[in-house]
Amino acid sequence: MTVDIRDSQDEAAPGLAAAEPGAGPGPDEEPDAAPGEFFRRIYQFFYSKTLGVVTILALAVYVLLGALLVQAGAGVYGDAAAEASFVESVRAKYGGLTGVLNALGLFHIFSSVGFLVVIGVLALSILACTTHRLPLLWDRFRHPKTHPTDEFFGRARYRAELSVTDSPDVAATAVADHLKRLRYRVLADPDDPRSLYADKFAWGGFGTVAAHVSFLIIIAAFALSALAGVAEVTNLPVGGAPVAVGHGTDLQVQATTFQATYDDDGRPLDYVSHLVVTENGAVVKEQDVRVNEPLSYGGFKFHQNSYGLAADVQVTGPDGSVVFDQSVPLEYQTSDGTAVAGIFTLAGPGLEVQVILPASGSTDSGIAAGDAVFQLYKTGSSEVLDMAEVAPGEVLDEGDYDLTFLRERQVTGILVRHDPGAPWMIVGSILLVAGMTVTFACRHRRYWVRVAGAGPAGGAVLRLASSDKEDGGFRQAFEDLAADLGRVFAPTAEPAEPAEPATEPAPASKETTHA
Amino acid sequence: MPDPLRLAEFILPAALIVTVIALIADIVILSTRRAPARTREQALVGGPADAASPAPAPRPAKKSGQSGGLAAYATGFTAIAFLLITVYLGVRMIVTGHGPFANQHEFAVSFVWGILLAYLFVEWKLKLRALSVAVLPVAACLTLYAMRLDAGVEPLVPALQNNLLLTLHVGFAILAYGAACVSFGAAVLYLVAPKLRRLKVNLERLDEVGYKAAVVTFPLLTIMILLGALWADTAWGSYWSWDPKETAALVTWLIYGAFLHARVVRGWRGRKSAWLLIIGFAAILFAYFGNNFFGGLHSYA
Ligand code: HEM
Repeated sequence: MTVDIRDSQDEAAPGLAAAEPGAGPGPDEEPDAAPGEFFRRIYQFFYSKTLGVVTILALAVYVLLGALLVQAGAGVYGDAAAEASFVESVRAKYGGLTGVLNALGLFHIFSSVGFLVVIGVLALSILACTTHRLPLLWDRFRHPKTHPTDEFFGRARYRAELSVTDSPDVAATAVADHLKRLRYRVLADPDDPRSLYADKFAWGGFGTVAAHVSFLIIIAAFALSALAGVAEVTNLPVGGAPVAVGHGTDLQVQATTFQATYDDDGRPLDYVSHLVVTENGAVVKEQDVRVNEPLSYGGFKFHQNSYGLAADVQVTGPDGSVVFDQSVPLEYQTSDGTAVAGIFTLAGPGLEVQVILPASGSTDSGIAAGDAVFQLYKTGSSEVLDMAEVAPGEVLDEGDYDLTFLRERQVTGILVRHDPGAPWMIVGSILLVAGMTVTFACRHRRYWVRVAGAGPAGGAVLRLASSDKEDGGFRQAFEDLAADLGRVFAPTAEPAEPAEPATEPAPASKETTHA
Repeated sequence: MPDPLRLAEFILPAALIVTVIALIADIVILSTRRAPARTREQALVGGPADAASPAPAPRPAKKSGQSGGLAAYATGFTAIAFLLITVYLGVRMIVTGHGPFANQHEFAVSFVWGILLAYLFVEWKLKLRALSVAVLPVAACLTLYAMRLDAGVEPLVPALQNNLLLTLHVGFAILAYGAACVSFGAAVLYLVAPKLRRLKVNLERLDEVGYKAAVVTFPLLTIMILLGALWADTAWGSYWSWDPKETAALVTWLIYGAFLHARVVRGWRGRKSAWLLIIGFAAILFAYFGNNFFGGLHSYA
């Protein structure tokens, strides 16, 4: 038996050349005036494999820059003032390059035009590659070429020859039976009863289709999440009134309790809010929500995000009616960390009010424990109009308005989220993993066998060939199959050992012996 | 620190020493072995750097005859190092009650575990001892690095507590990184071996092992990233936040993806594809060490 394996790249499967890319007119040819030609050219551009690889690498570079360069937070770009102050803040780090980096959108890479263009090109490239490849895969699956030329058996990347003493017909039947026993699909060659085609995992190629389509789904999921998603942190006063979820729903959410536990060093071990969701006033779901356990209802998810303090404040107007009654989340911290503050505005008198409380556990804020400080500004000005420390229940009289600090209250920051992309992300992920698994674990293996008479002495010469890529264990599989066939004919096959190329009897192998 | 952990502190230096001994044994074997027999590694030593042309490489004989005794020791020591690391991680997991992913120290040791596992597997399956010269130094350096890090046991931040997804996420990362290190080792050797007269290796097989390891790495990285996204979806309320660590992981994934495509559809092999594998592993190290300088949401691991 002789096993010969070539390493040339030029070997296509027999008769498949016409179906391979590149069969169209070359770039030098006169362009066709037909309108379809224009689109064909575009299609050709996108299914170019070079474009595919270059785009993947370009994306890698882009993403790398996104990991290396400081990225602005959400919403900074789109707010001119915030953008300007952000750019100033990074100028110390990037110096003279700052302007260029900013102009290229590299401080908000993942929403920059350049990035979206690369993603778009990648998506089109994947789409074109996949649709271009699909007919070929389908053909290999449904209508494999069963009759290669004789030449193919002398040129194929992998090939083996086996001389046996059986007659050609007996040998051909024995090979077919053996391959069927090994669970190959065996197809007879209508043009030659002593030739056959055998393959396994003919559907394996569709694994790459699944992998490619899945990536398109994932890109679509990102787009859907970005365009149609809702994600906002709501500070719910613990034990306070329900807060409307909005976004076209009749949902309201309320936090009834909150608990945080710490270890001896003050690190958080756990924090949990008990949330109650109501729809048109009726409780529809309630649950303890902690970091890994969000509450889901009606397409919305409620995640534990943060926690802090709030000040319950009530304001009455000139006629004694209540114009403001809310828990004001204390979202800001003084620079020395001793106090926390919240801000609200009163449209009527045009006032901006800061409520300042000692930070939890702090004794040196200058504010008595349990008290709050009101600091009042005219809206839009930084000049303090009035300032007073008040105890719970105490009233600050500000002209026609009375401001009352009712109590300090815990707030729990809940991320309210509606993400129509998330389920698609999961679908895409499953398809991606499944597609890859099929691609790598079920590679399409194809073999062609032709049996010829060995000459006047009788017996037969069995030729086995395959032409798939070198990678992915084809070589090993081919050698194993050849050896296996050798054993099938063991009593009669000769030579049983792999022959040195120089002593090969096979004429075909001689022409292709390695240089 | 609980007592079993104090005891375990001695395991890492022991593992390091054993790894270095294994490496030395491998170097001795490789530098003293005669030119490979024709049937084993054919006419490739110092051959053309371009793997597109080399001659067929018959499978190596199942048993490597030369330096038989020393080879058994080299493999044995590597296996012992692997066992020691396993014991170390096991003890820590029992004491802490969670997977080895709470801090950089635990993850560094896990990384070593993944590398040794992948290397031993390849040595057992493919008998490619030469790989040890490039892979074991990485394992030894990481062990040393782990020993220098704070090994204290800290409580997990809430996001990391008893989470199956997270454990799987880290588990796949470890396997992926181990496989990536093997493909990196194969790529480095591919580039360096022709320059080292004494190192007799079959370049074509290195090229193939580099590819095979990358074929294992890519799906593992994919699963790792997707599990991470799934977990973030629950814990952070967003499956993707462009946090620097996940961004770096995406870079790694794209490089391995580019490698596979360059190879499968553009026929890249040999030196060019070896360089892509080296860049891929550099990206893994960047993603791994990255949070030392980019510190995002992932600042705990
Ligand atoms: C980033 C998104 C992509 C993913 C996840 C992906 C996934 C895969 C996988 C897993 C394989 C199998 C590789 C192997 O056999 O070793 C593959 C092969 C392939 N990919 Fe992609 N790919 C992507 C982008 C692209 C693009 C943009 C193109 C367009 C040029 C492309 C064209 C191909 C082709 C032609 C093959 C070979 C298929 C075969 O041998 O049957 N891929 N892809």
